[in-house]
Amino acid sequence: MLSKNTFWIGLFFVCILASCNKMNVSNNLKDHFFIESKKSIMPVFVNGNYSSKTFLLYLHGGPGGTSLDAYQNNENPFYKLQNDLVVVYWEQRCAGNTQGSCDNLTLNQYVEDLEKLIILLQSKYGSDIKLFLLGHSWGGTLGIKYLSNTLYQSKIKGWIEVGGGHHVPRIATLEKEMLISEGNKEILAGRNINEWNEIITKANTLNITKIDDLFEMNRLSVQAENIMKQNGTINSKIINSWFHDYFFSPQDISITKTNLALSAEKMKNELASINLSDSLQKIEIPVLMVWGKYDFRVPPKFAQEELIKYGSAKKDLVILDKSAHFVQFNEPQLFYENVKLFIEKNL
Amino acid sequence: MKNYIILVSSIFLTLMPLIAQSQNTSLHSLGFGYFGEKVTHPGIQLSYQSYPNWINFKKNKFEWGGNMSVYIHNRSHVGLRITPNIGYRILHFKKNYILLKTDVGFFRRYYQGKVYTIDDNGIVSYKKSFATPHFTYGIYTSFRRKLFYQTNFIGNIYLDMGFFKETKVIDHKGITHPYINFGFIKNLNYVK
Repeated sequence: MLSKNTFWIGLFFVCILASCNKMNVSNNLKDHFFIESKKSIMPVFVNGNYSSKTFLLYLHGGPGGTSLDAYQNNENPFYKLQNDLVVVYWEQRCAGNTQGSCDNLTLNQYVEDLEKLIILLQSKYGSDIKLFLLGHSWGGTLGIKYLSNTLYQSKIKGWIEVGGGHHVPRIATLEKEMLISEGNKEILAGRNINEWNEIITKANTLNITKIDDLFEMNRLSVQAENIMKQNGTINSKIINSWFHDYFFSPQDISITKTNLALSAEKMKNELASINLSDSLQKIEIPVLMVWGKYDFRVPPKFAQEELIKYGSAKKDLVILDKSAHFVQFNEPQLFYENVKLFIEKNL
Repeated sequence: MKNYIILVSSIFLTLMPLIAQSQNTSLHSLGFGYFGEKVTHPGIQLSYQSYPNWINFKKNKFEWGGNMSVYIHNRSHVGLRITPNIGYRILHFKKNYILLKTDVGFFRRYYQGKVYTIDDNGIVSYKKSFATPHFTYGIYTSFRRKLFYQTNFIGNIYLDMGFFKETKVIDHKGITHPYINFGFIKNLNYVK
């Protein structure tokens, strides 16, 4: 029989030896950490197949939204992409689960945060990782601002813009046009006549040079999309159940709602005048734009206008017919296929 | 400095009923139970309760005590609450009674994961553990059922449901969390 002392000494050495193993990043990566920048503590979730060393960094919308919509839902295209590559879900400053300060809410600060995250990803997972950026809505604005810096752009293999809102005054004009044109089509077809008349009347009264009216136009667009969803023109979004998100996910819905309200208020003035169209010519990496045909909030006509402005020789626009602003959740399978193909072609 | 004052005050006030006990008409109890932030994010709670003047239970409706709870919100944070509390009995029927309770004290949010910083030269560093202090207060309803062994009142089973707030989580805004807490409170001294 071992004496007690021998046992404890032996256990001590076993622990020492076991602790000497070099940490390997397994192919099946599931990581969670925080990045702190100017008093904002931002969660990051890193999930997926590490073997190809290909990373897709998802820039969520808002500002003040979350990257955890339909998180790890089987139908979520980002979840499916995790089979082939690593998806990075980053909760931006004053968004999602992020805690800490909501000061310094400017586009330049978000860009600084993004650059820090990219430095961190390269430090943690290797400087040879292949990074793709995907920006949805506000995330599109953030991605374009980031990529317009040629030094930053050199770190990125490809850019995917999804319903990106990088020229708000122009978008507001097109929103109004689309609400009126689609509204009239729906009225002629005898669908939701009262609702559309109300929307068209209201849209005609709004003065998009005023900030409050500009955001009211956006609210009308949301209303229009809901009507189209109800009549089956667009697919419903895939979502996790409220029950799942509230009780079982890493998301804290109380924090998410608070962040969204704070961001909307603090970023209002800067958002209303954002215009990055002139920066598109600086972006020379491959570009994929994915849009919903019934995206009232950022109309597909805007995507068509902006596509030609990109400096890239390899650029494409895909418009999905049963989708609105959240195209990744309205037609997740088609979205997944297009994004996967783009990444594979540009590795 | 302010956070240390809140922490020390909370611990002191939590233990005060224990320190101050001298009346042999008081009933003192220790409790242990499940604490669930948003019900399903699991944790445990240890509690101490004092019922001054237990002999006149029907007349005296106040109790006071303290709680210490720890819970895990997976892939988010670990929460630690230390709070003195006071309760007022609003209903008593046979072996059952209901209290309205409020507590106030110290909360600490431990981030579940490394917290990285990148300096202006692009140097990455991290803290293995990182926590932020907050002030907390809560309000809840406590459903109790008295347990007896022969004629001795040995304790309660309880169910608490309510809300607690932690202050200054985002900017100066606090966050409110619903929670559930249930378990067993064992009396330390017996009264008939």
